[in-house]
Amino acid sequence: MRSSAADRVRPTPLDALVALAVLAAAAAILFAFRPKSGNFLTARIVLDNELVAELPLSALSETVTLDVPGARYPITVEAEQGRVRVSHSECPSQDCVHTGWVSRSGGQIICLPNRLVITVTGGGADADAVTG
Amino acid sequence: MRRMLPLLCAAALLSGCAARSEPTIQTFFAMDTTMSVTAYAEDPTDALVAAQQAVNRLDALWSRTRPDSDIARLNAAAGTGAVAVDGDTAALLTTANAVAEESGLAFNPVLCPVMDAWGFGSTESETTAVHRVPAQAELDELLPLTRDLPLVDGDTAALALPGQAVDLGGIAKGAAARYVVDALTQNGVERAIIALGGNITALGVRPDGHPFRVYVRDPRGEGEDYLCLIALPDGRTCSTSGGYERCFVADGVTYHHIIDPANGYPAQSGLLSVTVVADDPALADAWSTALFVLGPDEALRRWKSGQGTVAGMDLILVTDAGHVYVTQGLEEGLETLGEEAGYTYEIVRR
Repeated sequence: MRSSAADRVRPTPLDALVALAVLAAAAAILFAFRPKSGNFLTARIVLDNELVAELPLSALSETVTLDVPGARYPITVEAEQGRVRVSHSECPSQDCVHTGWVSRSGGQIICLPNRLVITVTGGGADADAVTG
Repeated sequence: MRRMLPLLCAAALLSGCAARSEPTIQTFFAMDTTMSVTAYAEDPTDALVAAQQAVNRLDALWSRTRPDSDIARLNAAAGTGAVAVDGDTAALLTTANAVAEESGLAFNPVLCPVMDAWGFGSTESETTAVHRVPAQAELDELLPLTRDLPLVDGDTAALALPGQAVDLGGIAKGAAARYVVDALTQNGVERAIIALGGNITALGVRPDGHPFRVYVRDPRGEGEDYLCLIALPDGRTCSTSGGYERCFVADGVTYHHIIDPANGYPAQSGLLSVTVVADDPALADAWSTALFVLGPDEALRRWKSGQGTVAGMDLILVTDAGHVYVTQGLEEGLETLGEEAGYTYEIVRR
């Protein structure tokens, strides 16, 4: 026996309603799972394999300085809207300080003596990594 | 239209999934450098832990400074006989020897005595390292120790002469990438970008379906100065060697850490940096150093010849005159960024 639905060929108003409901649900899911960072730049500070801080670079309205707790050589991270740097470090190599400001997604500041890495992510990601 | 609706709905739902593309980043220190694995997956925790454990295991085998590592034991036994090594160590030594032979020792895993003389020995001591320019007489004494490659026989290895020493620092990080990829895929991660101290490996593609993209550092710049942006397709690794990475100044002369095994002095081949893109991460790592030593003419000759390992790779060669050779395989997805800094770019074809 054939169902009555199979006899119908034209969409009914109910079909349209169901379709709308599904679309609305899809939109709701899209919204709920939108990327958290979106176009926001975030600086993650990792010391000796532990995440010590995440700085929301895009959201900063004033300069933030952070003396990284537990660092072998005292090191100060400075962040302001859209960028981050190591402003001071007592490490012997000073490579971290010489790196200067980092503002692009994918960029990194590394202080090997301190085993510290600052990674900038988000912001629509120009790149996923840096070689060299 | 009625047929299209389910498709549209599915597309909308799928895009909802795609938007959920926040990666999980694992950053850690191993092999005297910083490493990070950025994984795109629902819950990559187990995979990331497995990846880090894999690297730590290799570090324990291949470190020159840990007294109980395969390499430390091999070095301690130099000139006295063979030592038993892990199968992974034997395999890596074999690969390192193959690159050394094919490159005419431009990549040299037994250059240690000379590197140590310059104070470029191991990065672990870089913070306290004393860099100096060794006297020619000293180099003349050390260079003969850098000519005989380690002998690998099954799962044993030996160094022929007392005073010889192996350092796999120029190939180990690249080699580790293969183990990281295995650890990730065995734990369900299909998309990740793996950065092991400047060696970048792409596993899969970005969540948006495009290849991963990698900045190549400007060898004359600092911080955020980049030479170009390249696309790194699934399964490929890029590695860069440049004199700018580690160097010191003595009497107004800058000495960098890529030593030419031919004379024991920092390589003066006319290159500022070499980036190699290859399928085998260990080869990418080792050949970036070898080509830096060999110079632009020899690197391009090998690539153009269509013969040998280099011909199967793609290259970015930056000359000290600021000219950048990019081989044709990297043209798609290439974005040059160094024009203002004075670089000129040329796509090389064959």
